[in-house]
Amino acid sequence: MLRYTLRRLSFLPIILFAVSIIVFVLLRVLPAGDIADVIGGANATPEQKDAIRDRYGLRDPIFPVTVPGECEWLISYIPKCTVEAPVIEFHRHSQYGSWLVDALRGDFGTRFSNNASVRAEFVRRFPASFELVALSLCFSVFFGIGFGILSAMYRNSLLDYGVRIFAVLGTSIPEFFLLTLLIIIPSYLWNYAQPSGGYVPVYEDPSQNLRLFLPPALIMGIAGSSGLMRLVRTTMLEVLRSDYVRTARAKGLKGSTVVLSHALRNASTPILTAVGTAFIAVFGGSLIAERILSIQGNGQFFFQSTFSRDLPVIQFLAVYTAAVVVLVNLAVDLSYAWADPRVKYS
Amino acid sequence: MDDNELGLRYWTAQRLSRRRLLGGVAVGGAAVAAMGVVGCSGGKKATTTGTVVPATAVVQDGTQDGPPTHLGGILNQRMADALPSMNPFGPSILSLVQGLFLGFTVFDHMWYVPTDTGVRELFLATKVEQPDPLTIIATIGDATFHDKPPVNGRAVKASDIAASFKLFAKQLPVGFDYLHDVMEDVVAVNDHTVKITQKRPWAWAYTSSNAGSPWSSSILPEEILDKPDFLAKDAIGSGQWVLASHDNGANIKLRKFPKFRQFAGTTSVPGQPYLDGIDFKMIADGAPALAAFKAGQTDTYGFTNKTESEDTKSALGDKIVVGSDLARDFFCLMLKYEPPFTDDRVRHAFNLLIDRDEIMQLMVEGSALKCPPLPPAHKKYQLPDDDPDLKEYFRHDVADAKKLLDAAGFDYDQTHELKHSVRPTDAQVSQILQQQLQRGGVKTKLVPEDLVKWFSQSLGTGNFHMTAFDHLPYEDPDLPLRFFMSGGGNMKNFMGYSNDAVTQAILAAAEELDEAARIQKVRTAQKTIIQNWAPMLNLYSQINYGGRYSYVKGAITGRGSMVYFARTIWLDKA
Repeated sequence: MLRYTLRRLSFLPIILFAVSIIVFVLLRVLPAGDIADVIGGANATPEQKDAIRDRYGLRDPIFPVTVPGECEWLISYIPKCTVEAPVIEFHRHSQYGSWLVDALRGDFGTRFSNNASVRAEFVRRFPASFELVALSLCFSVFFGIGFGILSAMYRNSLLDYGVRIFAVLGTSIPEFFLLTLLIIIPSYLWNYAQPSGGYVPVYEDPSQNLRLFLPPALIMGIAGSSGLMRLVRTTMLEVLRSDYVRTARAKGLKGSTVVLSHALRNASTPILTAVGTAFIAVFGGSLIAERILSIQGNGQFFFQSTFSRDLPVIQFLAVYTAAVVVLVNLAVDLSYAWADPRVKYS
Repeated sequence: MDDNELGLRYWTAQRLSRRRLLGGVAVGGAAVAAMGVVGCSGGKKATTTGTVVPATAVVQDGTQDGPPTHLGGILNQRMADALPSMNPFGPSILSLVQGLFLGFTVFDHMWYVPTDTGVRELFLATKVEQPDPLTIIATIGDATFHDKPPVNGRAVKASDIAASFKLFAKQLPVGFDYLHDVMEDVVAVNDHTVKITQKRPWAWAYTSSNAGSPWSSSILPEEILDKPDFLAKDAIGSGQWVLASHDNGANIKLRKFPKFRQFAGTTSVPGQPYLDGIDFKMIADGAPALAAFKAGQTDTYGFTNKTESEDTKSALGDKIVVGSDLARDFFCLMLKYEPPFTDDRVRHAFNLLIDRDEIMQLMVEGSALKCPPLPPAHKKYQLPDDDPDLKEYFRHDVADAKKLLDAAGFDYDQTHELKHSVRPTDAQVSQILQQQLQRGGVKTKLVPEDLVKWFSQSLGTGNFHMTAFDHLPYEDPDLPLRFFMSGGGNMKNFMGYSNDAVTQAILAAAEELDEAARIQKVRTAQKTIIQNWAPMLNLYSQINYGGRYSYVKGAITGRGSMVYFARTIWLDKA
């Protein structure tokens, strides 16, 4: 298992490298024009734009390796190439090369807008985003698995119908709409609003912290649990009909033991996959939630940076998101072995 | 209590949001535009549009609620976007956002000209002399900077003012503007005397588009002027508020500067500002911002429209006061001076195809005024309602428009690009314009663009055929008129329009130092603009609605951007 884990982890840098290249290229080839124009504004002088280009290395080629145009070796193939110039040019300084070298040292650059460290700002905002995602995922798993099991146990009951209707609604209604309702309805009925004005850590003011995070986490958790609920119900229904469950009941085991220790454990492999998917959904949804509820997390950071074309921030957050997705998928894969001892990694 | 209190609304993020500002900056490209508000009396009057709007501004000095019965307290305000930096010098157009924010709060200025009177009021300056039309000599009072390193509360000197002006001039090159095209030099004669020399007489010299700009006349200590890394994160000035903290531009906390302008002989009042501070809470979207206002988390709010203001008033009753004011910003359709728009008849025809009443109804439920070449908020410079040129400017007649187009040999098969930013209001106005032009047989294709791209690469470089957008609320007539000017050097306009008669008419007004004569010349300039069908066709200025809790008192209203200086606000609660 250790070897498997290490092997999977060894893919991580390759994936991040590929993602970083794709994002880097996309950010620069999209029709956004000269970045110096964007930073400097319409009225910046040529000297000011030059200074911006120098400061951010915008004169350097994008990649450390380029192909001279006159060779056209991609078309004519190397054997036919008679040009004496080198086929490939290497550049000591390139935009991507500089970014990559700095990133490997843990320096993800500075913001275009105020030269603040991207990493420092990310770290400052991380607790807010983490808390929102963690709480949402907890609710998602709790409601998804809990009501999924109950729905399966009490099949065709009112509870089952309620859960199924809820699951359909939860899948159908977009999160941003629910989050907007979260703002509008209490405001309309009771003149109540979510706290505003920044992140308060739970150890400083638990009450204020929960007022800030609990409602959106509940909404996102409930919305995210609907798919999980349906999957748990379906899987549990199948498992509950199996012989070993019947045997367990015949042995006189308590109902809760039968369901939680025998049935759920055997139904857990697809559920774990769904939890991983739910995490990624919650992670993405938190970007919207942060925007709508003005939570100063990394989702808000991403939005602000996108509007102001703060490329270093967008670049870093894209790579960070890729890393999170890869690691979550790895964690899900590893958890299969915990859930089912028959699964062996080699 | 009057129902016309406007000012505090402008502290809300609707007005200070980056996007809103950027939209305006776009136009201003330039400069220094002031955001202000005209206060209104309780009286109403019917305008040429038939819309009932608040009448003439009433000048109030912040004591209309009586002297403060309670000092201290924190005013809670909304901000819709984080400031991208604390550096008022840039780089980028975003510097206007923080430049204005800090200029109204943290940085002091020598003087300010409020829109209602147009008369210079002294701030840090205790005396201003103009011995000849080209020389301005200002004497400044004793004041200190905020007590933060590396400045550590030292005295403000004339050299700080000169150095600040010069850095703004270096960092903010724009179109035709005061710092480059009018000001010759600014020097410190001694620690208390600043001397500005001008290349030409300039009647608007003291206004917010010029040497009284809330942005580029900000006074910063020399020690930090050459430290962009410091400026990106912190601000030190001598204004009424100290920048206490911020979360990288969000959730800004300002605290009272107890030593603010403690010298005699100015309009400052001892004890001001009356509040202990202002907290700006970052609330990006409108729905949570309104919810926060209704929940009492913020003390003021800028409503989206009249209906929203009425609904909120009905929900909160006497707890809040709702007011309205005529905005100084205005929408326009800008045509690039290239075929077919080089033909006066085509521009005239396009203006005839525009139904301003319909646009105002669709955009803001009719709560607006039609906008002549000079926005209606600049009341004393307006052409009379019965002026024949003004009537023609506002006339909507599709049949006459078609006749003009036919006479000009207009090619109805050609499709004209209408660029606009993706800001909702710009997009909506553009869509309405597209439909109205279609009624005259004019085909248009809408080209939405990201705001930053639209500003920096389309409007700012004149890379458009037609574009529609909302201007910044300018505080004086200078800047709105300058958009029509043309000439050498920096005297350019985005449209590529060149007309000597228009330029000379605008310059004649700007160089006229006698106010009565200047008013007439501004009117003449507007008539010249209309008669030549200059290719920026103004559409409307809307009426804004704002609310505040009734315990918020002492707001300066009806005085344009004076409200932003916000020293007289006090909270009538323990």
